[in-house]
Amino acid sequence: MKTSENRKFEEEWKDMMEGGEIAPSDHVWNSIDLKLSHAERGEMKKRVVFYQRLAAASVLFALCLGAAGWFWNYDGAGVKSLASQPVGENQSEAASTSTTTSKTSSDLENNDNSYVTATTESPSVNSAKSVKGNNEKGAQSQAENGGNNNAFTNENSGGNYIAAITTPANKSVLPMAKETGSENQPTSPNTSGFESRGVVQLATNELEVSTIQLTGKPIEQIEAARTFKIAKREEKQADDQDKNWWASLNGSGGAYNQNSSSNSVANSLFLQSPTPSLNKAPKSTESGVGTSFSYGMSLGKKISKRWMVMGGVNYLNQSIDYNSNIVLQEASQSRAFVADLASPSSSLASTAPYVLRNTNEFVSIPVQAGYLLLNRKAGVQLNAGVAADIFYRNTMTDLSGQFGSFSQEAGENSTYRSLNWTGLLGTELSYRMNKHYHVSLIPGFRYSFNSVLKSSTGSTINPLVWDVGFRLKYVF
Amino acid sequence: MHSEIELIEGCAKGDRAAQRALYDRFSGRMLALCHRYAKSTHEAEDILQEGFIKIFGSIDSFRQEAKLTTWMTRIMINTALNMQRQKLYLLPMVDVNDANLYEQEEIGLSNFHFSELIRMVQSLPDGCRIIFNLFAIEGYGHKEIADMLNISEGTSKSQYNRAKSLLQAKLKAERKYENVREQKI
Repeated sequence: MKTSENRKFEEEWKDMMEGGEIAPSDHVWNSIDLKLSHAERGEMKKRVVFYQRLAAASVLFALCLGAAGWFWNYDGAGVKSLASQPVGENQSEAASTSTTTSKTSSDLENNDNSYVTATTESPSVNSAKSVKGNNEKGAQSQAENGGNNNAFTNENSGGNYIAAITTPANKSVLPMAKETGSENQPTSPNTSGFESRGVVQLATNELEVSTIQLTGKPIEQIEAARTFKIAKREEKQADDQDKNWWASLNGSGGAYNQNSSSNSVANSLFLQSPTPSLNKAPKSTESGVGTSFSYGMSLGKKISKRWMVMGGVNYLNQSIDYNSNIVLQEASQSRAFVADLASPSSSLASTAPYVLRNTNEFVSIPVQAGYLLLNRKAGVQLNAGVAADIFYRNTMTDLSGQFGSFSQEAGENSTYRSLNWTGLLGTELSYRMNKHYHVSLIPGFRYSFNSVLKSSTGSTINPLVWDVGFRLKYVF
Repeated sequence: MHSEIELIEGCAKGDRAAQRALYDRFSGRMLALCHRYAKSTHEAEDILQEGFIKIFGSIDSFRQEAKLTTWMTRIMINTALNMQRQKLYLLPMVDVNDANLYEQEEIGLSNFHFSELIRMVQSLPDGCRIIFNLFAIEGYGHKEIADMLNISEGTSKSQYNRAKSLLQAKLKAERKYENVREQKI
């Protein structure tokens, strides 16, 4: 009995509660909307952070690659100094033959055939001697060394050596011929022979020194010499080609930080408001990180072996979300607005918090200098320069659609400066696809030297952008 | 007018219009539920807000094996319990003396307005209120409630009996007040 009474009590309550509804107040949805927007921005922020890290990692990678390239160059110089020292492995090898031979190349790059040699038949000389690389000096050096340099004679009759030459200018290893007879001598008409006793050094016309180590296989040695010549020729062709003008299409995307500081005039506007209900502190908080993208075209020219200049024109779009509690009042409707951009002429009203997207558009004209750290099929370049960012338009859009969009362009009434100067710094990791087409990945950042807002707003915004760009380059 | 499936798909894609439509369709019913678990309107709206955030956040995992309202109700109840849990820890529930429980006169609810009944439920002590809701209205057994709230089954039963006793007393008091008012008129 009691059980059925209990059940009746519960069922009665259940029936009474079922289907009952209570209308929530409006602010509940506003809060949900705001939280959802925050969550979405959190997702966006995660994505942006990923690209930021990618850009940073790329810059770091490029710098490491550049440093390694520089180190290799340095290492070449190190070989030079090491080779001139009287003590070392080469010394003992040289001592075993009791002969040291010096070899001078007048111009390896421009005239492969202009080897001039100097041979010193002196057991007491343990180190190879480097000689400035031109024919005259080479000849002088020959004279000084007793003129025993008319040919690469093989005094080591059973000799069967490979001479590996390391040239610092190109980092390739050049096995160089020692030969058992004159028929296997290098193809250079000016090089009638090759003396393979002890340590041989080459000096190019750029005073770079190469070492030759005797290891012993002539066929491989000749093959490598050919490879070296081909590589040199290709490099020279590429170098010549790089000196042409190039044009490119480029685009980039990344994270955008406003670096804003606010002492907005909006506060004073509210305090002056005749309507007491409007005396609510205006507050506009940006989400911290926004997004930036740009696209455009560039034109450039290589002006020396390592340097190039480039310029162009780009469309630049930077957007960031704000939580705002003010709107701009106009006769027809209220428009989305943020406190940072208020000017003394703004007519503002407070409202429930909402999320708006603030987008700035610029036409950017960059001028940059590039320094080539590595110029092979894959290249690494450091770029730096400035850009004149011409303000085009600012748009504020309420993401919920509750308020109208606000838009302003450059001009006297605009809160934005018409011309802004921005510093650019980045790296360019390029890949030469063929004779004309190159592709590049360009991680870098740009920082505005001046505030994009006019001083009358009382606020400053100095955008900092981390981005990763892509460039398709056509070399003429 | 969107179908339920369209709303679910829209919400799963993060479409704000679909989220708003889902909210408009179910928020009244869900707020009534939240009111039963909360002490005040403000608290109920907090639960509603938090609950809808969870619903939108996990609607892509809704497999449509259950009815959407059932799934949403479950999320709202869990949200309410999570928000009340702190109070339950601060005021641990113990067995209470319910000697007079079955001596109360049975009073029908049909003469009471929905909002009056909600107010009565809200006036119950925290532990009693939650167990009354879970047992009498949501239909959970004492064993399930004991597991959910990490209390003993006996505690759940005694808290429910106490809630029932208190509610009957309130109903009686309200009815007396109504009678007096009618006589005056």
